[in-house]
Amino acid sequence: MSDAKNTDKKSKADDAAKDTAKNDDQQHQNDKQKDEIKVARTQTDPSLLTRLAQRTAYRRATALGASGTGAAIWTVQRMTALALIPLALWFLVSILSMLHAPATTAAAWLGAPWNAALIGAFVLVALRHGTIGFRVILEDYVHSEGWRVASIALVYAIAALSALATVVGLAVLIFTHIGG
Amino acid sequence: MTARSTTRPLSPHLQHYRPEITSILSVLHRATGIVLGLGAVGLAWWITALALGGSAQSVTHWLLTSWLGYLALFGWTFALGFHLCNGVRHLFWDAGMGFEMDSVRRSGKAAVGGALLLTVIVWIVVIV
Ligand code: HEM
Repeated sequence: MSDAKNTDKKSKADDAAKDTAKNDDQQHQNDKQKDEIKVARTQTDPSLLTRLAQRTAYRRATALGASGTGAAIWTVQRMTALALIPLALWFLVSILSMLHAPATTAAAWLGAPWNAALIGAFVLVALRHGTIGFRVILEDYVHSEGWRVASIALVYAIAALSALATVVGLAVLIFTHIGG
Repeated sequence: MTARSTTRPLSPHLQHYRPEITSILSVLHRATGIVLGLGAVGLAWWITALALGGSAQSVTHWLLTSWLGYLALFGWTFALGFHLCNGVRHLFWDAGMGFEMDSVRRSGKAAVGGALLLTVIVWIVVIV
């Protein structure tokens, strides 16, 4: 091996080392910048963070505004929508043909456990889905906070009452059906 | 408690825009959602009335089979048909699919067609 070649190699290795060093340096620089940004973000105004936290807590407590439940409710609305597709189709084909029948036939039909279960599921899921829908609509249009809370509460109350009546009513119909 | 600014800019309200199939169907989804919600409460009442029997049952049955009852049920069927089909459209959007304008218009027409088809089929079954 000649000296020339050796130095050549050496300088190349040096270069490479320098390159990695440069990269490391760059990386370090980047990290530092990121850190600085993080620090800058958290240190801008501590009182702002406190106020944000307080506001979030307040909104959670009052269930108004961005309380942190919006995303969950969004998901429930979609899940219930998916469940309602088969339930609604079943409902459409089966129940409306009941119109001709005398009321006693309808009662007997509803008392059959499978029918009762399916229609119960349809009504309860529809009430849950619809309640979220009404809430979203009221949040869109009712600008006064008091009326918004009151109207949403009313919707929830009506839905809860309807759900209770449905479950009790179906239970009664099943009992009468099975009891003969 | 929370002071809200009342001078925030608002987007122009609905009547300032030229109606298009997209916006009409969007409004219709909301309207049918409301109709269905009222219907769900009615359905709960129907079940309750059947369980109660007696005059609650007979009055409800009389109401439902009056011409007004039939009209309401017909409207409700269409509302369910449309909201169902358009709801499927919404779910595709939520999954990130079907956003191109002509695909949006096509699926909108399909939703209306599907709703009409469902309504007609159901009522043929009811009447026959
Ligand atoms: C009796 C049954 C149903 C009731 C009472 C009901 C009620 C509602 C209501 C009140 C809304 C709010 C509308 C709005 O925010 O503009 C809504 C939205 C929605 N519904 Fe239904 N619905 C029912 C069935 C269905 C079915 C079968 C589907 C099937 C896919 C569905 C899918 C949706 C979707 C995806 C939304 C959200 C739309 C948006 O993002 O604006 N719904 N529903």
